[in-house]
Amino acid sequence: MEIFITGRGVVSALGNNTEENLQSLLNGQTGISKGSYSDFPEKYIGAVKLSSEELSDKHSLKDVYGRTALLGLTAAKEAWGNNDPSSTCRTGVISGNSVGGMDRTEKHVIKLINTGQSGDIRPILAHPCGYSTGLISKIIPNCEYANTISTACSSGANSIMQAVKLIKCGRLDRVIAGGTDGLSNFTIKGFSSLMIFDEKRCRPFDANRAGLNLGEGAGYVLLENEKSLRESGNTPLGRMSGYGIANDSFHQTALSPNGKGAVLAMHHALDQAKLKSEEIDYINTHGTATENNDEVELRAIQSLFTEKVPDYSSTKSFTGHTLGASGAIETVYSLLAIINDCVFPSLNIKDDMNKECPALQKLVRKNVSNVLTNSFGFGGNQTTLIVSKC
Amino acid sequence: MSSEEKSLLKSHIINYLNLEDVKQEEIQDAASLFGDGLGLDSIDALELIVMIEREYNVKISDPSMGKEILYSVDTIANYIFTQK
Amino acid sequence: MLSAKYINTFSGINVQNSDPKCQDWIDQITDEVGEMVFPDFKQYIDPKQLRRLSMLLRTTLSCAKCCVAEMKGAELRGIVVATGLGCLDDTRKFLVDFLQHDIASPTAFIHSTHNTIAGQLGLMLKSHAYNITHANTGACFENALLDAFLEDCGQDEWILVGGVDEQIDWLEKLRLQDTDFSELNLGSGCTFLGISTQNRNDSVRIVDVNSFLISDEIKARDHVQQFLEKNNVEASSLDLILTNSNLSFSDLQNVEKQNYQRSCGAYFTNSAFGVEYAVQRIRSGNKRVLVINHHEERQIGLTLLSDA
Repeated sequence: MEIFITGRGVVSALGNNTEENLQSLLNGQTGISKGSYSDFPEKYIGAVKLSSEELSDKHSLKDVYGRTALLGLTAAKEAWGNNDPSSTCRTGVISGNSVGGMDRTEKHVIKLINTGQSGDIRPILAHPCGYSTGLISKIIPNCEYANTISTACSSGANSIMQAVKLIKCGRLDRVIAGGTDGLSNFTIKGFSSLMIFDEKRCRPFDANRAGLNLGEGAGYVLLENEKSLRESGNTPLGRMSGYGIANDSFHQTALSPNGKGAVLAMHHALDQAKLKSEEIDYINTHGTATENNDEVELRAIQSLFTEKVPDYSSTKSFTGHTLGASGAIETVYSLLAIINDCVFPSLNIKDDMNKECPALQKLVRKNVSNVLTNSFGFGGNQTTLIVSKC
Repeated sequence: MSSEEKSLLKSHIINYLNLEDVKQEEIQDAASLFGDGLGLDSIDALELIVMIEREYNVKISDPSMGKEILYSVDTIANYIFTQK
Repeated sequence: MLSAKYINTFSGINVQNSDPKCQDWIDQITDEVGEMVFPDFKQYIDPKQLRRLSMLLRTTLSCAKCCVAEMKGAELRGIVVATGLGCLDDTRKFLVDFLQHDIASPTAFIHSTHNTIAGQLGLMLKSHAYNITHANTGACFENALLDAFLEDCGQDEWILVGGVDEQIDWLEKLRLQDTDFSELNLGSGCTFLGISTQNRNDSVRIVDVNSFLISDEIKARDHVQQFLEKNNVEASSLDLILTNSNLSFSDLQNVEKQNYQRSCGAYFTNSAFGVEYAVQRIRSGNKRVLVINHHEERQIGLTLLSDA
């Protein structure tokens, strides 16, 4: 059964819609800057260039919702576009995120901690990860199924995976699937405590990389089976041709030295897509720019792509690490690579981590038929998706 | 560091790492805390960096220095002493 | 065509039962949601590991270990966890920590993500298999069970499925502030199931499971009706309907109805408790039980179980 991608939406530090993101990628224009997140002005962060108030206005909402929900709504609306409700096609939404409404919650709990009272509790009711999914489901007419996946940095990728699975098993015909995560002090403080930030712009696959920059955003795709495609008449933009999911089972936060989980995930995805490794034209890596991730991820890639490692890069050098949204944003970027027949570079490399097999540092225009994208989360959650041309 | 100060350091280690079943007397001054010693790992190393900053106001901003500094109670004590 | 799926074993710790090995506690069940009583976790977890683990993670690992012991001989194909609020205590710890200190403790942060539960299971069981966490508060347990139900299991494979949520004092403080929640009795619970395609002794068949969004056009009772019709089951032929809301089935006079939330308290994955209860009822002679999860107005989760 083919799973077609007929819609896409993305908001990130690169722009507020897909076209703006694409232009930034084509122009090598980073979205990461110092001072873009006011509570941490010294940090390089990939913030979306819309305040929460502006996002709320955009959706005619009162400002009670957290950034995760607002960003999700923005990208999901773009992906849904002008599709009509259907009475015969079963429609669902599956969305991933890791922080939920934490940007609002963390402000309200200060009062709760100090006085035992939290004032208006509505912002805290918007805390659960599923809240943003519920909001998105309301803009999808006749939406009958909603699910939220929370697997840290692989949340968005796993949501897309789950959507493919439910369509293939005949439970749904079309799904808005993806992920969203907004910035919060909780997350920034959390990653600070792990001492894995780069004090400068992150440099994935550079020999002197020093850690990640955080980002925020949301990415969604509209997936349809053939029955839904016949009814909607949409033009397919690409296909989800395979997925693989495995657990590294090594450490709560670090990857195993041999990248076992990563190898398994990539292997399963290629298997399911019935593709040989040489048929992959581009790998959009997880590439967080931590010492551990980049070294292990490339080692895992090399162990699987023994003939030749495809062109690879990390677009986190453009957006920062968007956590639960990253796998979904990067799926949209993989789709853009296919539609535009080009592969995107990694920014900020001065000294290649691996001289024999360096990451792509310039935009390359070529035929792109199959793109593999990795998402590796805390808790050993490793997911690989393959996006292919129709 | 005096032996009382080292004793306090050991109690901080036990508290911050939730080593509920370990008594101060069981932690040898010069013995390795990681690997076979108390069996601590990389996350414990980060917790110890937090402990040293909070309790002694001494920062370790480069985690790669952590291995040497955090090797044993003695090495931690020496580092704190030299930074103050 | 996927093979049928069976619940071969289960293990739970909740306010009615503190022994994860006990599979026979429904006779002692009460309508009182008291404090959780915990087992001696050292029976199940290496003491050196315990130090970092919240109560939620301790109950998870203990219950999972019991399921693993019962499913000996089969290979673990997947770990699927449902949790509505995730690792709340660690989230609270980290929040308090970073709001009060310049430099915050990493352990609580690392353990605050929802998928820590499934991640710790992957570590403990040294499993590289499928591993995922469902967190949609309205029906996360049903979504998780559906995910497992749809896995194409080989005959020697099994899947560990769990529903876990914990209550912390902050939730109680928030509850007291809002009149909408004044009637609610908050609870905590941990339930794990061992699922496979093998019909072993005492297995209970999962006939079907799904979750649905409720609309003006298709209301909760409509979903129940359609779900049963799809599975060729008359509502009146059910032995028992278990629910956690006020959804009325007064028209089904010969069908026993129970509200499990009265016994386990309110938490987002409490339909997993409902399923534990249902499994025990089927093992004691009931043929068909429907477990309904309808604590949120907009969503309903349905699990239909039968004797094997």
